[in-house]
Amino acid sequence: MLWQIRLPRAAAAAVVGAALSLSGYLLQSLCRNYLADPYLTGVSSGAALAVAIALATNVPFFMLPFAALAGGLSASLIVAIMSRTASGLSVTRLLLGGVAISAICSSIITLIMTNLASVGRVQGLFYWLTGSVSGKGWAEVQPLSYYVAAGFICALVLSKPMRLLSLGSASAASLGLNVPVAQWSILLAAVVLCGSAVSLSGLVGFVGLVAPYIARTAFGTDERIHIVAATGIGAVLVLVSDLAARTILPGTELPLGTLLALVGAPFFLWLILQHKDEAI
Amino acid sequence: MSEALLVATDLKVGWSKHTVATLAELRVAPGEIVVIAGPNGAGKSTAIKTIARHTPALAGKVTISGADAFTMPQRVFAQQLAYVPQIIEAPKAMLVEDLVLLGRSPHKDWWSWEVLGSDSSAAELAMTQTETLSLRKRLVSELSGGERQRVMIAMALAQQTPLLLLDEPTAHLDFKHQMQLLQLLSSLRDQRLGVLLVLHDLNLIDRIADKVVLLQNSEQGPSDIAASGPPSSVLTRETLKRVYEVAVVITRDDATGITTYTPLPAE
Repeated sequence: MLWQIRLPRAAAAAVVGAALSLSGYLLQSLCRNYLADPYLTGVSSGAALAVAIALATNVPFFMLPFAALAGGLSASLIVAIMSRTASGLSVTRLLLGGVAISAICSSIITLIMTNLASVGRVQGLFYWLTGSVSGKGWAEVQPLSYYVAAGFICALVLSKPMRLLSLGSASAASLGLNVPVAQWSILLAAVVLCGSAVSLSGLVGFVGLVAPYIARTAFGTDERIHIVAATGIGAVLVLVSDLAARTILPGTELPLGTLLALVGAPFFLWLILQHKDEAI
Repeated sequence: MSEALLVATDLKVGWSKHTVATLAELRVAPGEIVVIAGPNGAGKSTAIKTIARHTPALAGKVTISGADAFTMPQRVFAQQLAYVPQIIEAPKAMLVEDLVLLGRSPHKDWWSWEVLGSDSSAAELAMTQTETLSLRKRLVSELSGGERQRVMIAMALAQQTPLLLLDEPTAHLDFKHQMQLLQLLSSLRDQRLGVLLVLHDLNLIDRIADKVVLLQNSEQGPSDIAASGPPSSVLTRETLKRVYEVAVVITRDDATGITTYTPLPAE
């Protein structure tokens, strides 16, 4: 019981949390904006659309994670290509493009949902959209943990370029950084991390925003320490939330993504109020 | 003349095909302070930005010690030329000393956090020269405009490049720090650095520049170089009247040897 169900589920929660938090940290550094969320780049909505299409076209259930990963990667790639300029990626265009792609994807998802023949499939999609790690086994956790380990190392290697980029891309270039290469590397690492997390758990929101924020405000000014802290905080946050989702109401299980937003959002608001004087 | 560090020839600068200014020739030799001056909109900042590769050139050529400045790798370029822009984007949470140390980046691998003894001493020297040593443990975002400007200059100095480009470095500085900057610039001249500045204040230009490149607006097209040479030959009443469209009184104080430029109200 413990080894077969509880442990892999806990591991899935921790790894999903770590992946989303790392992804958020990378994207925030890239955008120089602490409000950037992995979901803003179109990853999540692209993944959701792919899952919706897969469900509508009777693709077998075990293929859903692959559909999610492919959808997430293609959506964010479209956004990134649209944001290309001579001197690297335009952050404004990246965020605007992400919002637009998300809007397109979610409207198509709604169309699919309202026209899906089987109620069971609509439920499946709804369940996926709310995010969950229940019923995940070692076979699903293992590949994601490799992605997270690789993403963690990439983030550490990219920490110095991230510090340079915090001065703005023009100044970073003046200090010798190859800005386009650095930006694409950061984006790619973030998108793969987020895409693989989403493929495992569906849409688990808010971790990618809250965990990096805590890491930045509570752990000094060193990017390397931020990365370690953000990974740990993300893992713990989702692990605890999943535990709560499972146990708060005996007999029923709350959707993990919903619970995270329900508890995470007020906590985030409280955090913001604590830092009133700070320009975000 | 052949030993010029920086040479710009037939440089067209501007924004998306709209040429703002044409610079037929601009040279900076080692140990020389060159100032780009001129009225608003003449393209001073655009010119210095273009040379610093912050904005692409529309046409023309810039060489640094004979090598093409626009095609050399970013890191090699950053070892040759340091640039402090006019508008400084402050990082959100970074200590002053960490920022100044970033000036050492062009001399390291892109991923490296290593701080060698030579890096700390370069940063320390740069902070001493800009009187920012006492700010080292402060956050950059908490600094005043003038302090921030000095810290950014410290970062550029820590880069230890043969060429230094500064856009309006005195904009936020009080009298004391303006004079300190002039002193710093002349000590850089003694160290044989080539310095290219954008400055508005003719009084400061007169005191520090070895050469002035005076831009003028043109009604027909892009602005161009009205005159170029030592301040005494460029900043004459006739030229200033023509370029700035106001009469300027030039007085020389024999006790201090300082020349003062005072614009007169339009008639």
